[in-house]
Amino acid sequence: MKIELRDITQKYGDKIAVNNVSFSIDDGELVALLGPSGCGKTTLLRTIAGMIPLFKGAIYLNGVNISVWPAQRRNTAMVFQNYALFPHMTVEENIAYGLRVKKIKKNVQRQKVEEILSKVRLEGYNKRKIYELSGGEQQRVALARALVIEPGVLLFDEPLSNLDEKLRVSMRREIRKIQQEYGITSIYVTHDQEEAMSIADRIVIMKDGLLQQMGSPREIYFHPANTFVADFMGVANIIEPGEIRINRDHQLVFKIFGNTYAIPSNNYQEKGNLKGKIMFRPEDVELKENGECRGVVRWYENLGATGRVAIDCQGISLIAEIFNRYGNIREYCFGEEVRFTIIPDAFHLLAE
Amino acid sequence: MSLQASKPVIVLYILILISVVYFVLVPVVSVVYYGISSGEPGVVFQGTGRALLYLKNSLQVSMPVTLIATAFGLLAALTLWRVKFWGRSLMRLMVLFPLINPPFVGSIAFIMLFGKRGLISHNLLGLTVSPFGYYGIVVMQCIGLSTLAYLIISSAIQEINIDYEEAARNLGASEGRIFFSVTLPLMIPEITVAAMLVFLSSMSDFGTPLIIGGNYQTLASDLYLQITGLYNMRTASLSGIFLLIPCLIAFFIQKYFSGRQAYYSQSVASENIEYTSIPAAVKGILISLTGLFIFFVIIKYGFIALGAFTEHWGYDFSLTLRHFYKLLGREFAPFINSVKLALGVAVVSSLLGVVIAYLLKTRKLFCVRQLDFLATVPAAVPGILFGIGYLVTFKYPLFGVGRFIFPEMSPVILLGTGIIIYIICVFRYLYVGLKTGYALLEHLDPNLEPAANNLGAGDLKTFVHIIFPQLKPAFAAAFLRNFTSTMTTLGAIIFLLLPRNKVATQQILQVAGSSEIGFAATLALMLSLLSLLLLIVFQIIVNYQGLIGWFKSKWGRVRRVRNVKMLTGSNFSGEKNRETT
Repeated sequence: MKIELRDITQKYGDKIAVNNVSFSIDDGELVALLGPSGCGKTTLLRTIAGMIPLFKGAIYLNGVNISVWPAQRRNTAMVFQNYALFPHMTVEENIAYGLRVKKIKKNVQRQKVEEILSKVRLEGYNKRKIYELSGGEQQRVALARALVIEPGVLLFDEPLSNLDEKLRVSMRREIRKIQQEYGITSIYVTHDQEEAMSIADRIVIMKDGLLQQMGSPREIYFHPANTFVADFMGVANIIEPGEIRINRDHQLVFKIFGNTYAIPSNNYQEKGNLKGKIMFRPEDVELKENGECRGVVRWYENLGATGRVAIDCQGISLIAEIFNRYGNIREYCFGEEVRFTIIPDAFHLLAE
Repeated sequence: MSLQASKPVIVLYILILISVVYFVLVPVVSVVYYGISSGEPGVVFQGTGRALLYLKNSLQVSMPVTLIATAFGLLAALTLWRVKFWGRSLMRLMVLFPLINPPFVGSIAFIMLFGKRGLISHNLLGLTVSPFGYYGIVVMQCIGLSTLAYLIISSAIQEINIDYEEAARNLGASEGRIFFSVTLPLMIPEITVAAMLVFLSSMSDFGTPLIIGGNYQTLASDLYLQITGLYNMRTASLSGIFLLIPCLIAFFIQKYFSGRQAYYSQSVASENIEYTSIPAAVKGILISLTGLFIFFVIIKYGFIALGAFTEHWGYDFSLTLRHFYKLLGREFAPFINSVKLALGVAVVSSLLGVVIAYLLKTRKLFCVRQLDFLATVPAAVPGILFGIGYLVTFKYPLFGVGRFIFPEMSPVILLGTGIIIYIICVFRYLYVGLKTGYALLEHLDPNLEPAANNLGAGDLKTFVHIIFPQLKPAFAAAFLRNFTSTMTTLGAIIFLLLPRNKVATQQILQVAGSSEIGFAATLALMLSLLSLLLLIVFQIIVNYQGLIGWFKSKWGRVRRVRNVKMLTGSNFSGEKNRETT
């Protein structure tokens, strides 16, 4: 089902929670709403579900304006952060609730419940009480309860935030697998950038109620729209080169660490100067004997598979990521002098 | 996490254990034993027959009262917390008024309206027969006890996790279906608690049948009459057993229901529990039913106030201050006694309860469940029966133990002092501090005490400097509850009072039973005003301390201030148990 949001604005009293947000989602796509807490992502999700009346704007589902529809009619199913499983009902009753409401025949209900239980790998859990389940199992029941009514849109409100790290990783794979199997259009709210990157077809980044950027995980990681997005997605080296020049060949020319770099640009056709910042990722900094830049190690941390080295170069700090392949492991110490190079194509302009 | 208990703690704990056994278990067991061992089978048989007759009356009153009052409590809670309308906060306040009075006070207004010279029965309808009896009792108890049910159910409504309803809505359920399949089942524990407490209060209320029951008396009022009129303690004890049985059954039914399921999510309190779309008809019905209930409350207080300023109700309706002069001139001592008793009991009982809660939750001790159970028993035992238990136990020397050691020593009735009244109230309300203590300790960091010890503070220092300041909100909440309960209590202490330490509630009962209805109204009005005034003062003190703290360190104390508010708020809107007679 195709979703279109047009100029959505939501307010809590005087505070604007969602500020004029518009985007659309294609059929079968999983879009992650990502941002720090208080950025308005959950408000937006609840608005789509119809739990919060719309202040301004419009929501279209397959071209139909559903802005004023009550929650019951919207054909969305939500997986809540705390699961919101009815504590006075068994697993089976929880899952069948949506079907019962729709007055589906008892035997069909039973069959569907069985099907979905095996889909989320909880066969035989029918009669269990909710409080007897572990966090991961509750999560699966919540997913099953939402899936079984075959909703047009599946909404996830930070569904994995109550699980531990390992379980989070395996559950997100499972959610993604099931979502793709059913081909359900989904919106997935999270504050975890790794989770968003791994699960989503596209990511919407929000801050203070404003949409910052929408794009594929790759786009957002390598071509962030602004400093906030660059910094929020992983680790970023953001450097102000002072002056950025656009030359005849439409290249951006700037000087950092005593070297002059030129990177191609599609957006800037006219010659001139512009202000902005240059961003590159730590993994694009390579430490090697013949690197063109020199610096001094500030600190080093070993992360297992990788390691991070903070380097001070002409008064500017940057972080480099090194890969600890077996037989190629090197420790760095404070004050050590190193040489490095930055992969030229890795530079990305953050215009102001 | 439990800490090893140090020696002084163990000694203190043993003392507490002994006194709880002594002042809770022994009296209850005594009254049962005394009732059964009344000698000849004939007497027992006769007594049983009589008791069963009154038990039937009691149940005939209590069952419908429980049903109606719980239903009204639920309706009022829903209306006042989940429906938005003009005048709601005023109504939330008004609905609480019956709390500051003993339940039989409504009967004064009833007499003024429906008595022999009542405004409606005599002046309006010209009836000569009085409508005293069954229906009067049921109506008056319903008005008095709906508030109790409202209190408990509204606390459940405020804590409700709105996500469950959102989830049901999200799955396509209609609003009506959500209410009956999700909202209502989730409130079952609180509803059963409310129903149990209403039932217990109704069963143990002897004032209402005494004043307006006419020929229709219940087991509790019969118990009172047997002791005050016939001095027949054995039959009274025997009847007491029959009063105790249904109360204990109700108590265990409720324990079963709310012990089975713990529904409350620890998630954030729901800010928006109001229904966004509610049909006008449903809204209208809810508001008018709640309005009707509040109308009754207003009538009750309005007429009590009118009666207090009327020369002689039913005969001479001219305005007067005569009753007030009389009250302030000669009859004020009982009010002083009431306040002294309520203050003393509130301080000691709340402190003891909170400390016990703390010990039970943080120390490795023995008989923990037993002590917890014993301390909760008085919540289920009708006050009047508990009082008889004390009467039976402590009429012997040496706090009653003398009965077994020196059987021929002459009995010393009730220690001959007023202390026994304090003792019975302290132990009767111990569970309140215990419960508020438990509730608070759940949110207290269990490592606070080890941290203080780790920094070199001893047990006592840790308690005074670290733990007690944290427990203060629980103490404050229990204090306010126990203060109101003791101000309005009667059943438990009525047989233990001496003429010189007579309390206000007793005086009201006596006067209301006589023909001086105007004076009774004045007394009732005075008791309400006095309780109200003191409650306001305590609230100010509690919040004022918080205010000072807030100014001292703007952020550091804010959380605690909020805690105090939360817990003291629960005095009026949250706690589970309230004793009435």
